Amino acid sequence: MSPQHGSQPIQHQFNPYSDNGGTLLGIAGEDFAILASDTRQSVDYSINTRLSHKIKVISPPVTKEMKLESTDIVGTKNSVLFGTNGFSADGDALTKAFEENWKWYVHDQNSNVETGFEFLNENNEEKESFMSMQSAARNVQHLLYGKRFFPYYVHTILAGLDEEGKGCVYSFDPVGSYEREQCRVGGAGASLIMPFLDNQVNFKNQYIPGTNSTERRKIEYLSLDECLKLVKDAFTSVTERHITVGDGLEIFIIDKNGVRSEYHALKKD
Amino acid sequence: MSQQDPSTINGGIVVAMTGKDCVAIACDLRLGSQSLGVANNFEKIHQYGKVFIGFTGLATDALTLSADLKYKHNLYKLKENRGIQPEVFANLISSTLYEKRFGPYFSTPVVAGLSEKTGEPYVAGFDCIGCIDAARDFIVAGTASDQLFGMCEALYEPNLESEDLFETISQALLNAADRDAISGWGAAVYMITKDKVTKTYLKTRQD
Amino acid sequence: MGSRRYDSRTTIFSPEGRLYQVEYALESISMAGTCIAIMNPKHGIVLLAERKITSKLLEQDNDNDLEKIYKLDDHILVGVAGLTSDAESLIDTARIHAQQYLKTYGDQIPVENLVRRISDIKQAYTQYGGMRPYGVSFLYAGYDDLNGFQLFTSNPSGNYSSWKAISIGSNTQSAQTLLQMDYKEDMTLDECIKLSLKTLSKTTDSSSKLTSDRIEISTISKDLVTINGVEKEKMSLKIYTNKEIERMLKEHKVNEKNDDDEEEEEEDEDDDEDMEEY
Repeated sequence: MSPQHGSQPIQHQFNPYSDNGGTLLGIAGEDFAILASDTRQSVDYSINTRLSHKIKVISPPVTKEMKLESTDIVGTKNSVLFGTNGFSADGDALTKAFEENWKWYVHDQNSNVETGFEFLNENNEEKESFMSMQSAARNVQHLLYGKRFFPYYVHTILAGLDEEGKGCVYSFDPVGSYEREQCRVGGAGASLIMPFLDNQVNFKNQYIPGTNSTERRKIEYLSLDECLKLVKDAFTSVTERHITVGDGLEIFIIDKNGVRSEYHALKKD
Repeated sequence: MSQQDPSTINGGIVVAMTGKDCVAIACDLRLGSQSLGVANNFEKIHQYGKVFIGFTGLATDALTLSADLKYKHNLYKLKENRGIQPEVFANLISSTLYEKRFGPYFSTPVVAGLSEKTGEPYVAGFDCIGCIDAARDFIVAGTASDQLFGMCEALYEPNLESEDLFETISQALLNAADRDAISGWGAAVYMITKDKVTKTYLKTRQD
Repeated sequence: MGSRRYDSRTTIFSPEGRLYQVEYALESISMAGTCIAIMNPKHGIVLLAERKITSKLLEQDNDNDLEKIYKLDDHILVGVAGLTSDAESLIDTARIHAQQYLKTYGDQIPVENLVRRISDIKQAYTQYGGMRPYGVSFLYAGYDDLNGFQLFTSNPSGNYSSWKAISIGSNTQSAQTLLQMDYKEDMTLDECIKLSLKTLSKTTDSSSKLTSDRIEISTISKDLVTINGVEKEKMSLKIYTNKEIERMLKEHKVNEKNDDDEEEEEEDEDDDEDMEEY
């Protein structure tokens, strides 16, 4: 303890935030989207747990038929993959708040059809109501900006399929500024991985050989397998070089068949 | 004006990688005064015999260190009657930096060269007070060092031939620099093999 | 001469106004191996030195360890006559001084600056401190952009002067006479080399021929080089290796007998026989 007699008075202040580390990565493909995170939760130089979840699948109920087709489905194609990274308490709080909003939204959508008048629906089909990605994103903005003067200390990333069935990723700053993007990394590993994604997803700084750096490499959608390889490479790289990233890698993949998840071990040191 | 961090006023990055019987070292060309870009031809890599050293951080300290090392290298050549080896030069840099332990040079040097002692490619990095990091794969330094770490860790593989090493180090430098506002504005890459040294200027974004 | 009363300290004059310690230092140098240098302002300077002691047992590697000729910087060479240990101490100081100048001004030190600095140090030891003077004379051969090729000598008194051709060490009287006779204003570097070798072979004490283990040769000259397609003059400093010295001796026919040297030739043969007996 440093001696305090004779020194200036020090004001102590409760710090409501802490940094739980970790990294969150979202990539949008042509007809799929990926949201991946590591599973380590840490504080300073200590690890709280090696298996914590930063991503929640917010999904309409998974039917028995869907389960029959493939047992590891955890969500439908209309799910929202909701990921938060930074201060995990705020992340969990935000996830809960959004999930609640989502449930009410879906319920109200359903309830708006008066019983007995279902025939007014086109083709008399019971539409499964869901929240579109656009709407989810906009809603998250309001949730975040609502605490503009005591923010949720998280970098939020949403992933899913848009209304055309194309992959989409939305990313947010702690107070709600958001944008739809092809790919985004958030959290501790952002500065390490983002340039890698620029280079490997958007083919930045790559030119066609022999054209003397005049013709840029054509930007094409990546296949799911290629994306997964990139995700795994990105996480193994950042695990090497960042202390708060490691332990395990959880990947959620959403496409027209629904949502499935993968888990891979990462270095524990 | 509040305290500025000396190592982020001028901006700039250096990266070095080892390959099969070759080393590569590369730097950006920007010199700025925070947001103002001042020079787009500020080369950060200097040659001392067969050893190449890149200096990042505060530009004035980088230049002073470079002149100081030139002085020490010239005396070494005169007294020893031979060129200096990269590992030896690394120790020379370490002691030069530690002399200023309580008033340091705000510069992080990076050494690259082929060692005649071991016959192996050699790279080393330092913090601003002289701790030597003699990694076997790559060394990164500068205001976009995090970005460089990510790129190098993902793209690097050991024992690359010199053409492949050139592409790898170029992509690592370019994409990392593009994610840092105060790095970039041109790039230079040195490919060093036993027979020759090739210097290439890369085409980069100019923002 | 009564000089015994005035020669024990550097810090006193004798009644005749002489500094005996300085003179004794000069005397010591006059027994050291000769250094000869010849300069042509357009073509360059040759610096030639003779090693006094050569022996089969002595580990002398002309390619790396020189005893008489040293590099002070990339543009200045120095030839030594006198105590080698004193010389190395001053040479170290000179080298550091040259680098300090380079670091401070970003430019190579002008030759005279360096010469003056060393001479000032030597002079200090003749006036205060109570320590003996340095027993070394130097022959500086250098080039700078300001004054082109320059040749200087300095001696233990701290005095220095600039020359077109000069020798220090032993037999300087005879060497100077020869140089004065044969020096021409418009010699090529090759002719300078030839003249210096001839002068040394004529004035050397030793009766045996000049061989590569007995002499050290170096030159400073300007070469035409092509950089990026442009022809430029670049200064080059060269210290010759053993093989190159052998070649040069053959080329300039240094050890071959001339008509002038017929008498000496007979004497040489006698001497050789003597040496064989021994």
